[in-house]
Amino acid sequence: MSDRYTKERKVGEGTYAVVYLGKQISSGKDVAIKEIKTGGFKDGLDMSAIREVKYLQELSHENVIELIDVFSDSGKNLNLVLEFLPSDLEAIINDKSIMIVPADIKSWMLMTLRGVHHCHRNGILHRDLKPSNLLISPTGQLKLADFGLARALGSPNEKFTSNVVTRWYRAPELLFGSHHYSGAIDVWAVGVIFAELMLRTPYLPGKDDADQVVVTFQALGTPTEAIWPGVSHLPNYNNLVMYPPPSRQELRNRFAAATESALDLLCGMLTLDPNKRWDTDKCLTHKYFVEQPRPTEPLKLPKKEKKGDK
Amino acid sequence: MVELDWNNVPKDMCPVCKTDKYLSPEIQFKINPECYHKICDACVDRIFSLGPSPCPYPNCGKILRKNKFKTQVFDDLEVEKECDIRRRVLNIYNKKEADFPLTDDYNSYQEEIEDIVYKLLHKIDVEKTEEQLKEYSIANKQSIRMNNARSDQEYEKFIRLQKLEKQYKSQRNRLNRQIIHEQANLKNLEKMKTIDELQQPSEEKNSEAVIKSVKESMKNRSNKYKKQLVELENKYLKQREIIIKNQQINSKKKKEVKIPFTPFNGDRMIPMPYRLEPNRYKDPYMEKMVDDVQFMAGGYKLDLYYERSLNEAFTGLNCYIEEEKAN
Repeated sequence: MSDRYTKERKVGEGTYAVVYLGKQISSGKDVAIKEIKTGGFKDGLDMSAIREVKYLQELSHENVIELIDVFSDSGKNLNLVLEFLPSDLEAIINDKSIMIVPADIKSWMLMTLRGVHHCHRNGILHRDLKPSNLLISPTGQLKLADFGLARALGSPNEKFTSNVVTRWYRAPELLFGSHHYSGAIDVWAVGVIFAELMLRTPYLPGKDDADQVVVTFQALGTPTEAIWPGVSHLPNYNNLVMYPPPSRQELRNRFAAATESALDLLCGMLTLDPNKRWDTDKCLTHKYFVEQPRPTEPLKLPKKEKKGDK
Repeated sequence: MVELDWNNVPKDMCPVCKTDKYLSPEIQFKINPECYHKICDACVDRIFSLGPSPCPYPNCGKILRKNKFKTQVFDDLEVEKECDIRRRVLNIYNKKEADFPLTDDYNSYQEEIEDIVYKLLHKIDVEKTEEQLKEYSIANKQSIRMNNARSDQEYEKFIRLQKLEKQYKSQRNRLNRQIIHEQANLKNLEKMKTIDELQQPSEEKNSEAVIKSVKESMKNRSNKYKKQLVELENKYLKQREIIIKNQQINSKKKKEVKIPFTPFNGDRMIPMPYRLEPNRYKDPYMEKMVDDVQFMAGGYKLDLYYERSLNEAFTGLNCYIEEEKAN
């Protein structure tokens, strides 16, 4: 089966997969080949590989990574052929030599939200949104990647694990250990990414799970029954220090470069109560995206090649 | 030998090595903001090169470091001290008027700064004031850094403007010099012409024609330079405008985008083969289950699950794999 693709060189290795740069022989197109370590199927196939295949094949969108093909080579390993995307948002945020202007942030937010919107309208939660999972194509298009933690909205008698999403981007209902959540957790993560883009530094960098609670509520106020009905019944809601919610002026000071509507959108995405948190529809139709400056065209966005790729 | 009065050191003498400005005019004095005692450059090098040492003035005893020594700017030490303190405080209290919604707020902020400077300068409640300063700097770490970055940017802008102006001026001077040069040439030529006329009245016509053409070309050239000068000035003004507006020098004028903005990239409503009618579908079992504080507080929505289930059920209908493969 692998005669349709060539593997050229290794570009990365994760816990359950090795990623190679390759070429589709028929078209000469660059592809990324994710070889899943199966260990001879001793313990079965890794869950995240199944999730990745299952949900990526459902999704086809400009801002979601494309799963081109799946094959197994010599009967041993499972290979996912994905679109090759040379850069990611984290590399851009961390490269201090790159200047990010508000129009660039708007463009990236727009593409992220479009991608998330597409997942959500198909009933899929990404559950691991963070800058390093937002890959950037050579033409500047931002694409959601790494669907290893994704899942479909389940029936009420299914219990979702709350141990998802990289810690810094974890929504408060996850911090409280909720087992029944919705796409609002992805919106929260996008909000934190939005803040990170403006600050050029992680917005809520908790050192461990307990610290994450403290950092999050220090920045955004501790939720109470009044602003989030039912919150005190969530499993991990106990022993909380009550921090006051930030005033508008405090937020303005923190995000000095943000316009008023940018702050509105940020507050909408970082609303503590998931029922009141904006959904992707509301975010995308917000006036932040309409007002000046217009979002930068993807081709003109700042770029960075990942180390080792030339 | 007269004992040196340490409390009243002569103006032009280093009290440590007793070097005098009269005998060694190259002497330079340094002070340290710890105690503001004057020491000559050579002594600073000698005493503090090996690391922090106490101040050589008797009854001072402050431990000084070499890298903190600086040249005195103001004659009056009090002014020097105040400037140092002010600089330090303003590095922390670095908000601008535009950061405040009300002028009154800004004024009281200024008042606070003046209070702190005054107290530190006159050694009133030093510990308390230092504490206040420290607390403020911790509480406003983020905004202080941001404001500093902002003033750095402004400084950079200023430097860029200065550089541009310098460049412009040197180019303008060059063109001006060329114009003057051409004009001098023109004058010379005229002189030559008169001499020629006097010398060779017979060939008058011929030489005049030659000279006229040369003159013409010179005039053209100087006109050209003048034009360049005007162009240069316009270019300079434009670039200056751009820097002031904080744009990249090379950025071209933004074209007005004609395409209207579409938040969903024209991809919002796919007509679904099904429709979820509100309040038409009731599942008492699930509704009872969802009517629970755990579901409510976590943001779970039953409708979304219905939608997903319908989507799952209908995905693939109207899809002809063979046809798609053929494409």
